[in-house]
Amino acid sequence: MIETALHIIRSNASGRFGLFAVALILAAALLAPWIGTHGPNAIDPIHRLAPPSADHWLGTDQLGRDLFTRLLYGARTAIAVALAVIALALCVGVTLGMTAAYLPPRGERLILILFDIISSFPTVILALALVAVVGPGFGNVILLIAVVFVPHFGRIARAQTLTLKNSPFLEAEIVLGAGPWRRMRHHVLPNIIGPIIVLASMDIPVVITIEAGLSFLGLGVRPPIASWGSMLNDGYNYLDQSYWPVIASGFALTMATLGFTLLGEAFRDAIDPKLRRQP
Amino acid sequence: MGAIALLLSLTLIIPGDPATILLGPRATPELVAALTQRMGLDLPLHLRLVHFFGDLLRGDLGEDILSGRPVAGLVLAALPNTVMLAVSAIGLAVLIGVPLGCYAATHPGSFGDQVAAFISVGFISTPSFVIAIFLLLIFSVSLHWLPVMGAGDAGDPLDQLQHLVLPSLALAAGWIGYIARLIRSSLLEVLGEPFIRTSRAYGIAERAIVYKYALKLACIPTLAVLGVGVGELLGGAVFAEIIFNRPGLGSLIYKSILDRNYPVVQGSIFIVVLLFVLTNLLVDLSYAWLDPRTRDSISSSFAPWRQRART
Amino acid sequence: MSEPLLRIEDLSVSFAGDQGVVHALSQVTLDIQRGRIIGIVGESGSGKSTLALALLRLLPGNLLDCSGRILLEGTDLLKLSQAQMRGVRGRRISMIFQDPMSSLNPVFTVETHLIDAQRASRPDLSTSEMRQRALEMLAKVGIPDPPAGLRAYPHQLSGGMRQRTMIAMALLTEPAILIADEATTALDVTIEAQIVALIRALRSDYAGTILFISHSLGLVAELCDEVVVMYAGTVVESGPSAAVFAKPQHPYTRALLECELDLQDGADRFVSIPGEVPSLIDPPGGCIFAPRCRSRFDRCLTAPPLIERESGHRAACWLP
Repeated sequence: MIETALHIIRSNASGRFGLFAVALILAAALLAPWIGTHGPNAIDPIHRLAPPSADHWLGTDQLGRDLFTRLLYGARTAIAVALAVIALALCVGVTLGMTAAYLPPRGERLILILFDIISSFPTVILALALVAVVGPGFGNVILLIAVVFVPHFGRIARAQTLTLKNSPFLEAEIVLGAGPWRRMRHHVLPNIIGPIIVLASMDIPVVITIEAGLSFLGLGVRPPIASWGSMLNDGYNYLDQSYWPVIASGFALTMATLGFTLLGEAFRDAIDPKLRRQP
Repeated sequence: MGAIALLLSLTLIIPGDPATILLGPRATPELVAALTQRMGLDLPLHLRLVHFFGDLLRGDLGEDILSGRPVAGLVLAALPNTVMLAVSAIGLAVLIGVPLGCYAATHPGSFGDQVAAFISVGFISTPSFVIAIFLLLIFSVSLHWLPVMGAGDAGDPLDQLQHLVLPSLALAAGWIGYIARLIRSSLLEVLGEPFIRTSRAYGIAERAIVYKYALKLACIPTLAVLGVGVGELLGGAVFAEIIFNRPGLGSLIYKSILDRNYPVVQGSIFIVVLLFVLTNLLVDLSYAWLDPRTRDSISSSFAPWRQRART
Repeated sequence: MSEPLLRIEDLSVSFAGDQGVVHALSQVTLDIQRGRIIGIVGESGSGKSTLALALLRLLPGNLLDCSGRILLEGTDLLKLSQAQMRGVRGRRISMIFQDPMSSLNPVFTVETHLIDAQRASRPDLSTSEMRQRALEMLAKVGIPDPPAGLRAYPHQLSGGMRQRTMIAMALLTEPAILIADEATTALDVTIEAQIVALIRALRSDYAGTILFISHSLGLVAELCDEVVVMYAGTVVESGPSAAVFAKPQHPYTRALLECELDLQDGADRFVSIPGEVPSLIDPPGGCIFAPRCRSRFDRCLTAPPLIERESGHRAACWLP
């Protein structure tokens, strides 16, 4: 299935572009220490805000750090945060969603209310509100963005479980004496996880955007960890002196979000043409 | 339901011990206790909630702990700027996105359609703050066409308008993409419906069919998604306001988070969420305005015509 | 006989289907005279609706080929530009569609439908004049309380009322040809009878030609002056109703009549035509009905032409 999906993705131009961009960013993230021309935090006070040169391929930032290297490490941060957030939100959301489907109405209501509370906030505003409470930092950022995405997965998991719950093969399991947990783990989960993972892949660019946004505001990962968002903010503060930092980090961010969006959409269309209707 | 959600969520964002944070590590315990009491934080949670909502009903959002001014006043002063920004962004997005979607739907598969699709996905996926900074870089820093910072002179509408262009463009970009895509797909679907064939069979011009008969229906699913999109718009406004240094709810939230000025954070986030909930209500109401079928299911009590027609 | 109002010559239509090219109509030739009600009958898939849509050039997007000639008072409709064709639609030819539920736009009132339908044919009228005509027409097609009818949205009307609205819409344009494509199929039997009665009653006001497309021989016999029987994209028999029903010449017509009579008797014996409608993707050579025909013989391997048996009564069969 994955192979045919890959084939379909490669067969259209935007899918190919997405695949290329994502591959590039993954490579940058994985190989940052080896491709990077300088240390990510090596300061060079003499060459502050330098334009691109043979030594600094994309120039330097306000502390004289090499932008190219920091972009690579920024990819690392973005990918790490995105994967961690999706994994965490997926686990919690799917568990809550499946449990909700099996709980008596009152328990189900409680979980649904929790989801409603979270989604009654605009995404970025909720992230900001949570930052105000727990404070910035790498781990906190992952935690709080995950909270934002839990209802998304939870609702889908619940809906899928509900449609599956009364299907004949699960009834047969009940007759055989399988408890609800066993049924969920062995029968429901494998059946619902496919579409949910497709949707999860569509959330990667959103997570990257939120992380960069928080870091842009100085409320995300803390310096000296490189993040495209904080690089963009540094560049913004020194925009009157050099525009290279802004261009480099803005371009990297756009490339990542666009790449993951296009790949995610191609992936979704390849796996399940029925989902195509959703914008 | 929404009220319960708000109520609970507000308790969530009340942090553990703002008094200590506010006064710093060197504060004496007596001072902390005094401030805690003044802020009502010594009360148990449910009483705090009662107080908060009691105050809210009187239009009191608490006090700014730095300046002592009422939060409601601060928020109300910031609100018009943000609303103006959001409204002009939506207006701009509709003005550009709808024709783009219509063009794509009436020329499916054409080169223009593909270009529109690429622009749409590019606009959707590029974070609004990146667009904002690039716009700033191009139009203000390099070309010096438009003013960079602030909201403009309060007494000068033209100046205000000039200051509004770039931020609203930055916010609108994503929406342009969304609207163009949604309009395209729903328009294509509507154009395949039998009643469109009826319109064609009566010699109605293709342009009128698209813009009068089909577009009205295509707007309904578009509207549904945009209701949720308002949330993103309000989130984006935070960035736009900070980047263009505009006063508004977004920059108010940001500054008060940095200052740990929790009553202000709480009050302004409350207003943003309220705005979000209200726009969604508005969206639901506008369905009824666009689609007579939902209108009837809402007010099915009075339909003498239908009863007569059925007999 | 004088020059016919509408002459269809060798009309062939094919579509791109999932499994190959679908030949929906092959070499249909028909003459339609002024002021008559012509019934077009056949099973579903026989090409009746394709014929109707071809007259208006409203065939769906997967159309591959539409060849032949459709002469409306001597003008070949297939050669007109889209803009010229718009001048024909809703002026010279108007159509009542099969499904009144989905053929009216749900977000516009009956008034909008009735007024916009007139714009093309009566540019001389003001909106209030068109409104007045719409009111009168609603009364004529039997809608109680026409002012309320104008304000109604399609979903507020019953199926019969919607179809009356469609008829009003078509008649307001005063077309030379009114096509009713399975106009009563989606309705209850009682409503169907009412609509048929309405069409007959309207004869006194409307002098144009009506093409009444239906799968029901009974309705056609009741209403129409002439009948055209279609099978698998071809015309197998045509002629005056009385002659066709009294002395059907084609075995398919005969079989259809038997089926229908049987239904009316309510007898426990159910006559059906053995076999299935042939695939239109790869139609068999020779007479298209031959595989299901009880009286086929050697000559049926070549396709029979549509030959006049008596005055105006034609059939495409080698049997005498």
